[in-house]
Amino acid sequence: MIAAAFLIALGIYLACGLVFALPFVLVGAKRIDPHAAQGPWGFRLLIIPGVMALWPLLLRRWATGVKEPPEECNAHRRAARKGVAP
Amino acid sequence: MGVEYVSVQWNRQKKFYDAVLVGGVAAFLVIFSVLTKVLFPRVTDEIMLIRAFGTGAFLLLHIILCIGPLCRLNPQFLPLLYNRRHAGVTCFLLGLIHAALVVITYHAGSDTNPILSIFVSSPINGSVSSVPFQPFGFFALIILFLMAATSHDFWLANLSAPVWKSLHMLVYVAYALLVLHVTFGVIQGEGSPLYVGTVALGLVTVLGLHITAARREVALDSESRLTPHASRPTESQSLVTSSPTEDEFVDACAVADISENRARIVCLSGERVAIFKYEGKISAVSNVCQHQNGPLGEGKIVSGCITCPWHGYQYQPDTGASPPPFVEKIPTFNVRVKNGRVFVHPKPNPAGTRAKPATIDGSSRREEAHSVTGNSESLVTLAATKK
Amino acid sequence: MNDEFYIGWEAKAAPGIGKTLRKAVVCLLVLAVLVPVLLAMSQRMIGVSVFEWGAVKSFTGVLRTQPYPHLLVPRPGTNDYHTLQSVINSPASASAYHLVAPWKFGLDRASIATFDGKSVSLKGTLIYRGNQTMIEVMPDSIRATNTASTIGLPSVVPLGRQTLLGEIVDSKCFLGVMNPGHLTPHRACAIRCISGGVPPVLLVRQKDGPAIYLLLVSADGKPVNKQVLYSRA
Repeated sequence: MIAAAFLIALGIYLACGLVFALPFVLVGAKRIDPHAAQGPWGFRLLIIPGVMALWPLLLRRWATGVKEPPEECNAHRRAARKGVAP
Repeated sequence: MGVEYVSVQWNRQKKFYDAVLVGGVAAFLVIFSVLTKVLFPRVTDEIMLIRAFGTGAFLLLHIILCIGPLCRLNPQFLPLLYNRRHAGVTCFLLGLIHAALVVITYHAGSDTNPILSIFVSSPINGSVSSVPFQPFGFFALIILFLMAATSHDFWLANLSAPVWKSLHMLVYVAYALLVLHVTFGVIQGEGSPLYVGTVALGLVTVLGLHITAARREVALDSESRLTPHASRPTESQSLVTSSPTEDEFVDACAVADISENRARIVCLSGERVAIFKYEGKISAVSNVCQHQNGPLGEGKIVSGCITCPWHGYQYQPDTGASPPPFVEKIPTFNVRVKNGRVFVHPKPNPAGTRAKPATIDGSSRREEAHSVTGNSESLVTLAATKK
Repeated sequence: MNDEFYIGWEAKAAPGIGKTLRKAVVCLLVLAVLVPVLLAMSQRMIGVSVFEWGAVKSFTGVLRTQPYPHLLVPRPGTNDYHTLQSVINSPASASAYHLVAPWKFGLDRASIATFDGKSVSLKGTLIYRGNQTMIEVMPDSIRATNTASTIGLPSVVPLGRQTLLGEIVDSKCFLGVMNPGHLTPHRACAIRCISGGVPPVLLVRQKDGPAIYLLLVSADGKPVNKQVLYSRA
């Protein structure tokens, strides 16, 4: 039953996300983004649903010791990174 | 803006926005429910609420989708864009309540798991009325959830604006799914021409506005695209441009094309560049705001800073850096002014690198004084002059 | 040139932008009023059906389990012991109230088999639409009363082979538990209810005249819930 398997997988994924979300909003968020260090409770609660949805990405950042949010990638920033302009 | 995150950055305009939003949604729900109850006293309350919340969410989604192209066509609608994410989260919550009521009413208390029932209780038998419409709604709600869950600035920063925007572009998938959800759902049941007409009108409005705005964008982009090769000076210009082209500077526009404290947008190095004129100087920066990739070139210099038209993020025109304590940075471009024309080097400087502003020389000023203000082809002039 | 510029974090918008904004807000509020009025008024499928939710009443009658559980109740004004006897002898003098369980389930026929054909009392909630009535029976409220005669099914009058075009509905929702309780939006619920044992009914809409409700049974008078679910016709 494809539908049942899909829903079970979705449920397990979100449950893992919830388990991950608690330590993440308390400790992890400020590790990967210094601006989250002083975030109030409202902020921490607001990001929990997103953490449940995107936890593998955040787990990887936290585990690999990333300290800052990523720089966005667009044509100008890519071109600027290639070398110092004259 | 690059300082500590808070739950919601309240200000007067956002409170006004939310008051209208909550008032409008409440009015919709109350009017639909009361009128239904008065006209059809035997209606099941849950179904009445399912319809109130479902139609309310669908209407709100239409409004949300129209705000984008409306702002492209007329910047005076930008206040509607300013706090659009609260409208988006509200739309998701209305959809969630609709879905929860549907699951409780139509699926709970049966011999099957109520969520699984959404997928297995609609066998297809070849007729239009048997198309399983509820899974469309389920997947649309998942997309709206992803968008609502990542609406905080924390996600913009940590996903980076382009990734965040790509994720939020899924709203069009959600909209398509919801059109199917409604077409194969309540329209099959109610069959009223007004229901069919309303959905069709909504679809035509959303598509029409998007196509109009997109065609305008494409036309403006093709007009303002510059390449080092294509911009080689023509014979008449060769005298004034020979020097800059030797080291690859590109003739971007005339100084007179740019209004004071505003910008002209050109396409260079694969992206738009905003060339600002202020206090007798010219500076060029990447057109892309770091916050939500808003079009900085449609912004304005306010208190000495380039100000994004979407959420008011600010950057110093020479350094491309936000004034302290904010930390946003955008790439800058080296510029020159010669004989009334602006030359931009196509190689962007790393974000936040100071590029010396070009001073508008005497000849440029004289030329500017005599120029006719008919050069309004640029995006920014459009943005600025639109009544 | 109008050089007005909107900055959201400023306390006040520029006058021209404010004016446009006020017009936009008025338009949006008009939409928020007009759209629900139009949509609510053009609903067409809400019928006159009742589920007396929360009003549990007692009923007495003769319980039958074939083809679907139902209670034969004497017509009003004649509800004494002798009338119950007459009900048994002549079902035409009684009303048949179909019996279902709470939620999306029919009454489990095996568990009430001992009451078949016997006089019982039970508690439940009325569901009715037109001349059709149903009772949602409170769990374990069925009690045998003083009469204990068992009877067979009433005689069958064949009307010949007919072709009928209609919609299969789950009788519980259609008769009043949900209103509207039919057509596409309700289809999943109908499938769950019929799967749970609620009697399936063929609803035949006539051009002139009231809709006809036909309880679907097999040729030998047995429930056809499974056949209805898997026919996919």
